Amino acid sequence: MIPLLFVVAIVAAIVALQVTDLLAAAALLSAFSFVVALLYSALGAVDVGFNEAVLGAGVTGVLLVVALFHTRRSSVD
Amino acid sequence: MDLTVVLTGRAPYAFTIVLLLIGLYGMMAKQNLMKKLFGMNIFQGAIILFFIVHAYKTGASVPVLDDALGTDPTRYVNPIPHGLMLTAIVVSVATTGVALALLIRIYRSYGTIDEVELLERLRKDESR
Amino acid sequence: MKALTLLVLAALGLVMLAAGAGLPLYGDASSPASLHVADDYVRGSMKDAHTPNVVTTMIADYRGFDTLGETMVVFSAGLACMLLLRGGERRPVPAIGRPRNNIVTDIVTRAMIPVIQLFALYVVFHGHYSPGGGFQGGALIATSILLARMVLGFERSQYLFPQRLGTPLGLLGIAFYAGVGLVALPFGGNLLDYSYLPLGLPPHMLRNWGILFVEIGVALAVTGTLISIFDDLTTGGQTGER
Repeated sequence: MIPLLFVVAIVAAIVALQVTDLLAAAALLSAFSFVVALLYSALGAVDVGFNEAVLGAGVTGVLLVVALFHTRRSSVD
Repeated sequence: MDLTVVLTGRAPYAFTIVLLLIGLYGMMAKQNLMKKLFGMNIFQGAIILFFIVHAYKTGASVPVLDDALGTDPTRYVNPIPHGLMLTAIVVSVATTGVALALLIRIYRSYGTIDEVELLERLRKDESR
Repeated sequence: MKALTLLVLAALGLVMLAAGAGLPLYGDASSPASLHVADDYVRGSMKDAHTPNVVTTMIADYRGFDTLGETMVVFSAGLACMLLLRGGERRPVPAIGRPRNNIVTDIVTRAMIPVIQLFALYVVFHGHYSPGGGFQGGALIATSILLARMVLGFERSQYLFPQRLGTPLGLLGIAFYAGVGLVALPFGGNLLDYSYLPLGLPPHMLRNWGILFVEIGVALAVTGTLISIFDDLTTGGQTGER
């Protein structure tokens, strides 16, 4: 279970950095945060996993989308 | 300097190092300032994962005391890195908030968040 | 330029893998990080503070001073956002917080917000016996207000949580936390020594109640700061191009 979660996290991180549409990249970063929260819970750190799921996948994702709408939505690379 | 020592019995550390390098690549090689911020978030996730992997014990349970398991410390996962990492996650969100505020101000002043265009406009401002 | 970056990162990766040979084995119960103080915390959590969740005891009781400093760090991040984005020209209607005027999302959001807030209160108060505590509960309350701001619109959700209330609520949380710590001083204890609180209970129950008060303070501080950061980010910029 844990190696599979690691592979999904690495793939989500690489794709989040390569996509040029920043809204899609923010959504992929939220997915990365969620997979990493699952990884923390699988390693026995349930408090840390709860925190990462609420703050990383929830609040950080929302703040990124708000900042995107105030700046540009697409990037060059 | 034996590189294969890491892969036998210490494999999760190798995965954490790969995530760390991906985060560093995002911060160093990407042109857009938002992408650099994404790289910083991935880097922070990898560091917290490194601490949590240190705290793991095989066959041990979650660090909530249970009557069935008693108070034997080898039956519970080490709780000290968990406490430190709770602080680290909240500080990471606060840092992301301040970085986004800075990005909005930069966009308001210069009209771009791309690194190459930004340096051009700064040079034009200086030479005026 | 990217090729040079990849080369440097590959070299760094090789150095880190070589240094990884000195790390303890994965899952080792006798690694140096898991000895010494960690054993005392696990053995003393129920005896000293009557709390089964060892992580909550650790961050609110044994290392409560670190958590006080960390709450102040979160609040100062909210202050930094305020300094950067307030003042100067501000649009009266923010670009994000327009009401969606879609009846389905409206009704579903109005039904979900009280459920999220009830669960957040449960997480804060049950943090002694299950994973949870002040940070998670405060972030959940902030999430419910963020949902209201995005779906119901910035103006219409002011009745739920007015914008001017964000930073004072954060300050109230920190004052509550520091206040609980300072109450112990006139009664003979050190700062944040909960066994000297004047409640008339045995010492381990006093520490249990001290942890609860401190978690409430942390939840208030995190709620106020996260909502204040969101409000500043939403109203502080101009509309950019899409």
